[in-house]
Amino acid sequence: MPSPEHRPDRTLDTLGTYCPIPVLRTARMLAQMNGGQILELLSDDRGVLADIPDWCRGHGHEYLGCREEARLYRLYIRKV
Amino acid sequence: MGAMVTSPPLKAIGLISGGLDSALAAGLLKEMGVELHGLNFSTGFCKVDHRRAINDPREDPERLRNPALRVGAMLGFPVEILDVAAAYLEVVRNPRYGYGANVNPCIDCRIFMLHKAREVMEAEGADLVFTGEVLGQRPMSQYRKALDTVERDTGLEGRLLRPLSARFLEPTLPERDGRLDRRRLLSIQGKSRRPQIALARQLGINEYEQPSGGCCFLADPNYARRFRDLVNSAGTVAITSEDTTLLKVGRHFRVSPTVKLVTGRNEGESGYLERFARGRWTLTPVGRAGTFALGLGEPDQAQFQVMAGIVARYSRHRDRDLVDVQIARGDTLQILSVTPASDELVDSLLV
Repeated sequence: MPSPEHRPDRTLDTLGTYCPIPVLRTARMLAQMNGGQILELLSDDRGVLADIPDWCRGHGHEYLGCREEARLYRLYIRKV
Repeated sequence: MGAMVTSPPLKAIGLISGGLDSALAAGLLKEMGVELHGLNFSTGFCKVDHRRAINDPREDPERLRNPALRVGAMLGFPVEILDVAAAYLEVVRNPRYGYGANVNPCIDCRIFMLHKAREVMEAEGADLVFTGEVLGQRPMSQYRKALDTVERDTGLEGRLLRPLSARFLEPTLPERDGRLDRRRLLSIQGKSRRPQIALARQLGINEYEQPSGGCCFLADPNYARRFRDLVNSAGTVAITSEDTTLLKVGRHFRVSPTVKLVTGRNEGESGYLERFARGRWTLTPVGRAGTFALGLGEPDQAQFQVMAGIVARYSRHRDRDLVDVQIARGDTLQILSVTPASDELVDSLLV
């Protein structure tokens, strides 16, 4: 679970898009960010709950967790 | 005495579907110290992607997972997703080596993906491209001649490694110059999965997608039937990505060579079809008593009657003598009171 100190440096809204778009846009956004910065990803694609942690592990980024509000997911990633 | 020179680790670009074979190929090379970079292609024909687009809240989340990303996470290497849907449609429209049992252009598909992998290999200064192909496993794309054709057509001679069957194939350049130990590569062939399952246990690979192209709509007989119907009516040149997307969803009824009806089979499919309503005819039982349908083409009034009857047949009012069906496009709207279509009519028009 992301803690309150995980304040995002950038927010990426991918609502209404589905695989592979959220992962592609996450990769593109993180590429523009600096190491240590935190990205907040907004999505309503339930698949991201599995894919983003997997993608982070493969690419060496730190997945900080997810907050769920109704069917809106907020995922937090720290660029390593 | 000079300092000892160590060569950098080999770097390989892999086609990662998330199935067992590509996971094993990656796992084997990883164990041999090869640096890996996986590619996963989003072609627009993947069933997992489609389940996600339908976004049914009752769907098991495990069935929504991208298996290629799972493999990358499990083995610890990056897997990059490439969105190739637009370019891939050209491959499907007009495959040089034809289709397999359905509308699966397997050889052209391999060539397309390996071309992309070659571009990544060259851009990243990698040494090899690898795949999980197994000699003799699939009738169209994995017999010896097809493997050779693919290697030749992609310009990857000497740089295309199939680690699971490598001992049956010509050595790649890194095998020849001793940077990759051929003795540790494998000699698996044929359709049996037993050697792969044993190897998976040995490499600690315990999660993988089911094999045999089960994820691809193009290898699905129902999809293929609809695709061929579309080609017969529109010709391959006119087929768009929206056309091929709509083939994945609902029931399809061929009303005339140029008119078709697509009905949602459940709430998820109806909601999905509604996203394609702009510029198309929509048909709904009045009061939203059931399905949502799209009318494709320019129906005449008699065809609207037939289409409305089918929509009535799949509405909650199917037992009534007459059902009101609303037909709309933009500012045009009419309501037809129709008799629900008979099973015989529905069966005769179903694609």
